[in-house]
Formats: sequence, structure tokens, C-alpha cells
Amino acid sequence: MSEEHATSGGREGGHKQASGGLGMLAVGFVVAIVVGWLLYPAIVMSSKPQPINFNHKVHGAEGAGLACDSCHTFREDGSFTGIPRLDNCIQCHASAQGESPDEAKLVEQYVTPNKEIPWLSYSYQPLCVFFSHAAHVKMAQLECTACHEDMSKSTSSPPAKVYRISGYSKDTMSMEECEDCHAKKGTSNACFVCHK
Amino acid sequence: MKLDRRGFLKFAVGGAIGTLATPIPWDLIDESAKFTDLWAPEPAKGPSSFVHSTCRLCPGGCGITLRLVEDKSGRDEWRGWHHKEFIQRRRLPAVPLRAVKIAGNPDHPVNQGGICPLGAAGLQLLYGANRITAPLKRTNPKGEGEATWKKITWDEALNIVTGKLREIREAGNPHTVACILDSKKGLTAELMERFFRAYGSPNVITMPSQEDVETVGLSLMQGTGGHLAYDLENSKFVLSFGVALLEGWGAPVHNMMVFRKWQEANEHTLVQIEPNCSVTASKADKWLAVKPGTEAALALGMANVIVTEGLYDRSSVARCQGFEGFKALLESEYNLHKVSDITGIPATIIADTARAFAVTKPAVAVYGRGQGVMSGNLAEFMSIYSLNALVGSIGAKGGVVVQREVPFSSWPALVTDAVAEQGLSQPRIDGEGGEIKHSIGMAHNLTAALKGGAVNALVVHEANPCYALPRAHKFKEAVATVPFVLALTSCMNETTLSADIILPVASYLERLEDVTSAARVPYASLSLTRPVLANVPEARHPGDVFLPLAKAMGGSVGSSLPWDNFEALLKEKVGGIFASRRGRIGDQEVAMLGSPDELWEGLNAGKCWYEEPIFGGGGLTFNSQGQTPHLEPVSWMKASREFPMLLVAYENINIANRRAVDTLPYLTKNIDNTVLQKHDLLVRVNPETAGRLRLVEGDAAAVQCPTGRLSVRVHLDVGMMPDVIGIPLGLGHSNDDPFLTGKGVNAYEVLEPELDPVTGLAVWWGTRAKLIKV
Amino acid sequence: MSEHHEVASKEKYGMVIDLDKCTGCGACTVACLSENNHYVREDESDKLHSVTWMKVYKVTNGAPFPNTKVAFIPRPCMHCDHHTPCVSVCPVMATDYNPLTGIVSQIYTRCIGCRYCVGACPYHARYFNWWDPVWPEGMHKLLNPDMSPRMRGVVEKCSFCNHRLQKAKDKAYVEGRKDLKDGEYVTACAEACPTRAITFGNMQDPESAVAKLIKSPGAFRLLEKLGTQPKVYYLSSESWIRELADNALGRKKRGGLA
Repeated sequence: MSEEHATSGGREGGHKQASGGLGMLAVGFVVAIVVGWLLYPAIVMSSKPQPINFNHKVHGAEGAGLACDSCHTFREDGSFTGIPRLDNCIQCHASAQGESPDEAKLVEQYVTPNKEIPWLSYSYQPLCVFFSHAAHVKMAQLECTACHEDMSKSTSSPPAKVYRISGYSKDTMSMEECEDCHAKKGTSNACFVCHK
Repeated sequence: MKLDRRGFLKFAVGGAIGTLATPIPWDLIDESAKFTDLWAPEPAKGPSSFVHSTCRLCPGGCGITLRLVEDKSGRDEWRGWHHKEFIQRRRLPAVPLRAVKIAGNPDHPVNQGGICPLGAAGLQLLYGANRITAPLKRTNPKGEGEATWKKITWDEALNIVTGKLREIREAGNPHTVACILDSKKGLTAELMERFFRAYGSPNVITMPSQEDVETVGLSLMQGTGGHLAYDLENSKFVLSFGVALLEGWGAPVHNMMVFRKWQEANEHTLVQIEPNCSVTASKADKWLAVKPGTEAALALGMANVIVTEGLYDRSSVARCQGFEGFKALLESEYNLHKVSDITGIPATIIADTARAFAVTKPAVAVYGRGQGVMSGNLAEFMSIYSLNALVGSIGAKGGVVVQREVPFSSWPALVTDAVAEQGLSQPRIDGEGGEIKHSIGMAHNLTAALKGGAVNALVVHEANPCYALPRAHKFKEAVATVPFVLALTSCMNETTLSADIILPVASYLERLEDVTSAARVPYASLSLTRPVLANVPEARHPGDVFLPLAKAMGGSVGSSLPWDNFEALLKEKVGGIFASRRGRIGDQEVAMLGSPDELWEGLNAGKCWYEEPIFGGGGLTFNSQGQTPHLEPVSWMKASREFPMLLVAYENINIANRRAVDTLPYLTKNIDNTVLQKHDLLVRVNPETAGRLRLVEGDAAAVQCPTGRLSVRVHLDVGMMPDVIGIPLGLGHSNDDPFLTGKGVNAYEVLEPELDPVTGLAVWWGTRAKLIKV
Repeated sequence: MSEHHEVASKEKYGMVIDLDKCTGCGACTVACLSENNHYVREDESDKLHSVTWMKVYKVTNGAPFPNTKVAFIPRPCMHCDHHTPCVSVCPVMATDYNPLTGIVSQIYTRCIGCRYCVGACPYHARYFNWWDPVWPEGMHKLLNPDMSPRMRGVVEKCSFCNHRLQKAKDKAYVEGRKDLKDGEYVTACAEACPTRAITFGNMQDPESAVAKLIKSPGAFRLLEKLGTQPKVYYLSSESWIRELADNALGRKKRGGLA
């Protein structure tokens, strides 16, 4: 491929001296790379900050000593709560405990008026997908970090990013990832295991 | 560097190659595929919970379990940020609390977990697009074109109503206010009747029901009031005279639960006596295709066999009066061959069925027609009911009982003043209690009364007389002449469209209300509908409309209804059950409860209070106050040259036809295309009859009746009796509901009630007709 | 994909419908519509286009008056166990047979709407979604979040309420169990049925109600001669219904759809 281009470029270059041989080709290539890797993500995804900059680290093992399942719990019916509700926060933050501006915001804007925090999901799954946390955590005994980032070190909540076209979040786990792991572990990949 | 054509092409090729090395093409393919996921709407997610309540879409009173979904996160708002409009259509808005499913409550004694199609579709009533969301005031005069409405506040609405009622009362005409209710069962109905009595109007009128004829019959034959119920579960032989046992009569789900038990035990016999092949007839062990309207003769023919062969229950008959006269009547008028001629059933079959009925214990004869809306005459009831006395089933286990009253604490004495006394002494506008002896259920007389100017104000509460009274369109015309019409419903219907003021009432899922003793079920019961959520915040409990109204009216009305709200009234009433120490709630004896609050809490948790009937041999009077069991022919049973056929109305469990609830959208999927095709209703006709008229399946035809003409299509049904046309009730609405309006024709329009000559009861289940090919 | 599934899984879900008990009321259909987020069009009288995963067919013995009889045959997806006809024709694998549960799936987001499966299904259990799903103002609130509504242009069918299995399993997992008890997972239609004509459960569990009912002497399936091994069984004491169920072509028969 590149050889072909080089030949044709050379012949034309001999013909007319304008456009400087492979120059324009390279420029086009570089522009495309820049647009594709730097500009495109900014265009195709929109980004929005979380309502509160949540610090996982101060809550986790190195801080308050909470485990993941202190806040991200299962309900009795087997469903997973996912993002915690205000009730969880109120247990400790009925009034401000420290001096962080985010905690002040929490108490002022959400706890006091008893308003749910409109958290944004990083790993939204569309309605046709049934993801069972119970199967992965309770049955397969997977650690949270097998799929999620290790949040114990994280000190801030980055803005959530979603694709403008599909509405999927940037970190939505794709079907290939699910299938690969299921295949590796010998778990069924039948459609109705994960779809609904 | 000058950019020429060649250079540009190079740039483009370079760009294209470069693009392949970026995520752009792959991502966009992926994105566009994912984009198609969004083509289906996405309901908001959230944690589920379940609550128990009671259904009151029909008199069956099933226990229901609602599944609720909570969504308080509000997180979905943003996801659609860059294609907002598209997403708004697809990503459905979060609702703090919504109900997503209604199932039967397995712990409720009436239905034991099952549910009927209407009950299962109940959420479509709650969330229906034709819910009334605010009090409405008509802005154009009634009867002039399509109604136009203006939203008003509750205060404005109640002021208008109070003003109007005061004005009429002050003029000394309280009796010119009439109120139409669906039935008089339940505290709300009792409260409204009390309101109007204290106000001074005797005119609280209910929609027609088969119970009317039973009420008269019971009082004559047994000297008692109350509701008839049948212990079908324990009955070994059920002789059903045309009741739609499996298609919506009584408490539909309870009956189906009983039917299941019959099937499992395999020791029960069901004989269905009905002109046409219905579901119940097909499911019965035997179907006797009786000529329409001759059921009384068949019952008496069977009675004759039982009496002459000495198969009757001696001890039961000993408790009865007038047996000798009854026996003589049977012998002279209802010998087997004559009855066979009248009914069209072979004599041997009548005799065999009668014998089996008499020797199988316990056995019961069930009076009725269809779901229980259409009335027959008193003589017919007495004839069929007499069979129960012959086999010892009056008040017996496996027989027929009168439901015990729920031991609510009683109402305090009604306070009346001179105006009220004066009003109450006036004759009823429908003629009930007037010249005609034993009159009841005279709603059919309302049309004339309204047209005659006897009514200055009409209040219609959760009923739809403009659709469901016999000759409904005439009634609707009459309503237009009434100076002031107030309608209270949760959804728009034909009657609200004819009103001056519409008050939105809460649906059964949004309000606290008593549901007492399921229809035809032998035990007394009480469970509550609960205010699970408020989809229409403006809608109010009808009790909480009339209690404040009573306060505003003051005087005798205010003193008669001193409660602050309906809940207070209900709680006080329930206190009576605790005081009576009767019955049980869930698995607990009321007598073992510590306080009335425990009972109240149990009821509010969706539990059912119930009390088994007290069985004991009862008797009756065969011949009372000059009324005897006999065949009282209805004029339309006789064929005429002009109208050679008989039009008979039938009911379908998937077509709601009476209460202020209409057929809900889901149910339209269950309506067969042999009943409705696009906008055309299909009448059922025997192929033989149709052949004679050169009609084939689906042909357009007209049903010409003495009272009018209906445009229909024809469905050939081998199960129909020749020369009989079957027409479903419940279609042909004009209530602005896109799922119903303009579909089929309203059979009520041609059903002309015939008055029982002795009692004045309206008899209406058919009419003469002619089928014309068009 | 759809060879005979000889390998015995611990679970294989099936349904038994007692036609003697069925009164054709249609509560199963409505419960299904409500559970599975069906929309309703203003005109549903064209039954070829009216989507009802659980369809109750009314049949008659065809005998002249007054010996006529009608009966009802509720028809969900049969979840055929052998050479599942729809699975074998799907060009995009939008439907598959789950060997762990015996349930035949339909994945709406994968379906390309070619309708080959609709033609292949001998039971008319598959429906093409001709219209955009639309709910009247406000009525979308009753949508079940456990079930995905379908977009226009795809084929849909009964899933044996597979989402209820997923939820029941989750509950069991959280309680530290792997297996379900009989009755923990039932379809919406079976739950609703007022005469309890529909029984649903794990056919591999010899103690389950379905496993026992399947062994009843008169148990039959629709069009058994096709060899598709449906997992929906019927019971009936009426011979004419059993004959109809086998579509007794060539034999003299009068009965049929009413």
C-alpha cells in the first residue's frame, strides 16, 4: 500500500513540482489522526460534572474504613442498589463532619432539604441488558475491582461522559467484554442470560 | 505551498487512511447500532415494593397486590441532553412512585390469588388519558353541540354546587334534586343517601340490577332483606338458570376459583339452562338450551317432577308455607309435556335433570341472567327460587343464603328539619313506593320524570346512565333538559359529557374505601381499597366532597353528617366490627384482638375481615301476598310477522358494561374479531337462520327493532338458537375515549323495558327484532 | 444451535395448561400485556396484526345447535425443545435456545425484522411489530422496568417471563442459594389465572407441580407430529379438542376456530 503511494507520488512529483510529493498525504494523515483521537471524542461525547465531587478514598479503607458494600448494597429481593441514595449519606452526614466544601454542599443542598442527589452513572446499561450483580458478586465471588476501577485510591469524581448519539456512557461495558469473560470462565453465553 | 487538485486528493487520501487509524469509523458504526436501541421507550428504573389493596371495578371485591416502582434519583434527566426532544419521547420521565402491575392477592379469601382481565388492567384506569384532572364547568349550554369545558378550582366548584342546592332547598323544593348511584352498597353510597335524605330528597336512585327483583322476591317469600348468596363451593349440584357463572356474574374470580375446585374434586355437577351456547354452557356438565324467557316454566316443570315423584325434602317443605297450593298449581299448569312444549326441552331430559337435582345433596338452583344487570320478572324469580325450598337448600350449606350484614357501628339518627320532612314526604320521581305494589328499581322511569321537569338538579355519582340505562339515548336527551347536572367520576363518560359541573373523584387505587361482602359470596367480608398513590392530585374522595358540602349546607344536612372526613367515618364504622367481636381478620379472630386499632391497622395493611355464614334449615312462602311462582310471559317472546326474531343481549367478561368503568385498552385485545371488527359490531346468528336470510359471515345487516334500528355485521354461530340474535352489551360508546368511541353500537338503545304487570319491575333482556340484509 | 438437547440441565422450564379449567377469560393475556410492556393500538380487531404473546384461541366442536361446545386454547410461545424452528432460521442469531433453562430467547436489539422466524413458527407465536410503540399521555407510567419495550420493525414473542427467572435467581443468590424452589419463578399468566389452569415450573424437578402434571395420562402438545417437542403441555378430557390440537387433517372434522 505505502509502496504504491510512494510510486505514484514520485511520478506525479516529477510531473509537477507543486504539493511536495508525499507531503499532502502525510498532512492529511496527521490531521485525521489529530481529529480522530483528540477532537472527535470531545465532539461525540458530552461531559457533565457530578453534582458533588465525591472522595472515595476518605470513605474507604484508608479513611472512614467503609467497605464497598457499606453503601453499594443488595436489596432483599436480590437487586443491587448501585448508586447509593441520600439515606445512606444521612447516616453519617446529618450535619457536616468536616470542612470540605463538597460536604457543606451535600448538607446544604441535599441533606437539609431532603432532596436526592442526581448522581450521574458512569456505567449505564441499556434496558435490554440485565446485569446481575448478585450472580457476579454473590455466586461467582468476583471482587468489585474485577470490573470497576479500584475506587479506594480515588479522591475525586471525574465528570461523567456520554455518547451524544446513543446516550451510552463512556464506560458502559460492551457485550464483547461480557462474552469474553463468560467464555473464559465457562459460563453460558446464551442470549437470555444477560438480555431481557 | 499551493494546493492544487492533485494535492487536495492526496490530502483527502491521507486523511482517509488516517481516519481508519482513529476510532471514528468504528465508533460511529457502533454508535449508530446502539442508537437503534433507543427506538423503544425506556421506563425509569428503581426499587420495587408490593402493597395489598382491594379491587372495586366490579361487585366481586377481589384482593389485589400492586407492584410499585420508586424512582427518586432524577438521574435520567441529563442523558438526553443533546438530542433532547428525541430522548424525551424515548426516555420516559422519572416518576417518584408509580404502579406497574396488579396481581391477585393469594391471602384474600374471595379470589385466593386469581384475577380477572378487568382487574389486571386496572392501572389503565389509574393512568388513563381520559381521567378528569380538575373540576370542570361547562361553558356552552347542554344539548348544543359538543361540550366545552373550563377548569375551575374546587372552591369555585363547591360554591356553585352549594349555591344551587341551597337555592332549591330555600325555594322549598328539595325533592326536585335527584341522585343516581351505581348501587347502594358501601359507605360512600350510604353517606350520599343520608346527605340527600337530610337535605329533603327521597330520590336516590340506583342503576338497574337483577338484585332488585331478588329484593322483592326475598321480602315476599322469606320476609327478609339483604343480598342473596350461593354456597357454590359446597354444592354438589348447581342448576344455573342462565347466570354467566364463569363470565362475570357475582364475584367473577371467586366463581372461577370455585370452578377450579369443582374440576379438581370431580364430584360436582353444573347444569346450565340458557338459550345459547355460552362459555358457562360449554363448561357445564350439561347444557339445556331453553327457549328464551321460558326458564320459569322449566323450573316449575322440574318442581312438578320432584313433587309428584315425592323426591322433595320433607323437612324443608314442612318449614314452608303454601306448599299445597304450589303443588296444585304444578299439577294443573306445569305437567311435563306442556313444559316440554313451552321450553323446547325434551320431557325425559327435564325429568332426569329434576331427579338428579333432587337426589344429589346439597343442590342449589341459581336465579339470574348474564352478569346480573338484566332483570327478569318476579314470577320467574319465585319459580326458580322455589326449587331451593323443595331440595332443602334455603339457608343450608351448599345452598342459598342471605349474606350477613357487616357489623359496622350504626349510623346516628338522621337529623331532619321541616323542609326535609316536607321533601321526604313527596312521592319518588321514579314511582318507587308509589301506586305499584312492591316497586323497586324503577330507574327506567327517570327519562319521563326528567322530561316532565320534575328534577331541578341531578347528581350522578360513579354511574353512567346516559350509556347504560335501557333506552340510554332517550335518557341522555332528557338529561339535557335538567337545569343543573353534577357528575362525579374519575374518567370521562357519556354522562359526565352531559353534565354542567364535573368533579374528579379519586380512582379506587387512590382512595380509602370499604369493599363489603363480594356479590353472591356466602360469607360476609370487608376489605379496603387504599390510597396507594395519587396520580391525579386534584381528584378527591367522593365522601370528602359530600362531607364538606354538608358542613357548608349546615342545618339538618350538616348535623346529619358531622364527620370531618371519610376516613374518620370509616374508622368509626369499623369500630362496630371490633365491638361485635365477630369474624376474623386474616388468621386472627376479632375476639382475640386487643383494640379497635389492631383491626383498623390490619384492614389498612390489606387484610380481609370475613365471617362464615350461619347455616340452618330455612323455609319460605311459595305463595305470598297474591304473588305466585308461574311463567309470566314477556310480550317480546311472541313472534310477530313484522319482527320474526328475538334480539337477546349477552355480556362478555372482556367488555365492561355497567359501572363507571369502561372497557380498558388491554381488554380490547381480548375482544374477538367475531364480536368487533374495526367499527362494526357483529351479532351472533345461527347459520341456518342466516342462510334463510341469505346472509354469510361478515355480511353487513341491520337489526330492526320496534324501538330503533342498529347497523351491524353478522357472525354465524352454530351455538345460537335459530331465530335468536345475540348482541353484546357494552359497545357503541361516545365518551371521547379513542379506544372505545365509535366502536360498535349500543344495544341499550333498543332494549325497551317491559313492566312486570304486578310489580312494576322493569324487565329487559331482549326485544323483538328483524334482521335485514343491507 | 437447535439440535436435540440431550444434555440434561438441572432446569428446564415448562408449562401445563388444563383446558378443562380454562374459561377463556383472558386474564392471562392481560397479565402478560401488563407484565411485558405491550402498547395498545386504537383498533385491535385485526387479529393478524394485534400482538398478543399469550393468545387465547376460541375453538368449537362445530356440532349443530344445541350440541355445540366451545373451548379455549391459550397459546404462549411453545419454547420448542427440538429443532426449534425459529432458531434454526434466524440469520442474525437474534433468537437462541438456552440449554440451561430451555427458554427460547428473542433479542429485540439484535433482530433485523426479516420475519423468517414468523413464517417458520408453526404456532403463530411470533409477531412482527409494525408500529412505533406509543402510550397515551401518562400511561407510560405503568411500564415494567424489568422488561424492555420493543421498537418498531422487530419480531417479538413470549419469553416465559425470563426476566422473572433472572430476578428469582438474584434473590436466591443473595440468600446464598443456587437453585430455585417450585413456585419461586412463575410467569405472569400463570400467576394471574383465576382458575389456576396454568401451571408453570421446572420440568426437571420431579417434585414440581408441572413435572407431575406432564405425566397425566391425557397430556398432549400442539402439533406434536412435527417433532418440535414443545414445552407447553395441555390437558383436556374432550377428545375433539385433542384432535384439533393435532390438526387432524384428512380426517372428517367439523370443529375449528370459533
